[in-house]
Amino acid sequence: MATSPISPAELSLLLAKTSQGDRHAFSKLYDATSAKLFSLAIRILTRRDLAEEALQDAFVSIWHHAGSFNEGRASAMTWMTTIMRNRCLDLLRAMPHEHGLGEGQDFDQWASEDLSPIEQAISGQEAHVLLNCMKALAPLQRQAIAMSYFHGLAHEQLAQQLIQPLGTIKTWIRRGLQSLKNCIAKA
Amino acid sequence: MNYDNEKLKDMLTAEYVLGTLRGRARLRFLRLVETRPDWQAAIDWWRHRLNLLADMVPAITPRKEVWQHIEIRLYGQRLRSALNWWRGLALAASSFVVVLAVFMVLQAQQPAGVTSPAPPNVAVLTDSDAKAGWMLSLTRSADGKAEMHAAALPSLQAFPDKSFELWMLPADKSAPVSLGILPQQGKASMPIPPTLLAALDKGGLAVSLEPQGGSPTGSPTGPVLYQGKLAQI
Repeated sequence: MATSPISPAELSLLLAKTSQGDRHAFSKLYDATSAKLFSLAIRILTRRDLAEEALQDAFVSIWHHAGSFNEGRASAMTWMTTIMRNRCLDLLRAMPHEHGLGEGQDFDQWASEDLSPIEQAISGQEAHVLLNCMKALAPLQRQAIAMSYFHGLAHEQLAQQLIQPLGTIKTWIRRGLQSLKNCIAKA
Repeated sequence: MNYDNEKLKDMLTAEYVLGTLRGRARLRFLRLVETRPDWQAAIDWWRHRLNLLADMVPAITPRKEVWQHIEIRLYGQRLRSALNWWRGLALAASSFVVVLAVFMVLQAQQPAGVTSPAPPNVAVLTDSDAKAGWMLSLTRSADGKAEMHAAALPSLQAFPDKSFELWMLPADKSAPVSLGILPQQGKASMPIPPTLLAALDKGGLAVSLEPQGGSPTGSPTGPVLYQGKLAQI
């Protein structure tokens, strides 16, 4: 699906209508956001069937909790993405331990010097700003942050995956986030 | 620790949102945030930024069935359970519906100058929250022709790009029979083949959500959103 050119304000309005039980608005909200949220679920869970289940759960939750969406605190997409990611990470943690970073989970692209494949997926301007700021990080630092976001990894797990001392990982993450903060604030 | 330190605030909130803040540090953090609006604002800031990572994954359109399942989970049951629903409907509830329907029919339905040889059968179609969507009345004329009159009620939740299709659920559990498309506002009438009348007396009614124009297969394809049963006045 081509990403629909739907503005944050329109998404907020659809969420507000959804909170009043407007099924048509909810259906439009799904059409506008499900492809991005589904790809996030697949990225986290790697299995399509689980990702479909998570997407259903997330939208059932969005329908029931639309009333608690606060436009002053988050954009509609941020709010929905948070629900989607949390649902996926919960499912991931509930899975048997073998389902760790599977074959489908390739984070090498984040450590690459060439981030153009990632760039091509972006639909909104703000994500371009973030990616530009991530370009300034060391490749492994970037990779550690992406692995933590997309797989909910804690410092210890990151240290194992990236074969680095725990202290190094902690410093990478902290400094990485700090430089993102400075970079985004300047952008 | 000095919790007014900007850098500390930034780092703890960022790690909280990213998910690397764990264990006791996370619990301490959550207690602190409750009383600190500035820390909550920092969480919002990071949530907004870090979730942009989700926009760096190429969009993948989910299968149509995913949305259908969401609709079923939220608004309706599958037809099979619809069949059981009307059979198990409590007498009290149905008699309430009939009384309401009779009242409304007598108030609004009878066209001037037409006398029906038999009293009409009526039904109110309701969703799982007992919200009414349509009032139906089945009239039979002296020459044996039958017509179902449907009036959309104000509480009906419309679906502009879909159709609501009315089905008869035969009492013998054979396949549902389409009776026609219901209006999303106002009134509509549909002719009923005389051969269906006996089955309609005993059977139930269900409304499924279908693509515009009705089910392409001749059987219900979407979720069942409304149900009811005809009753004699």
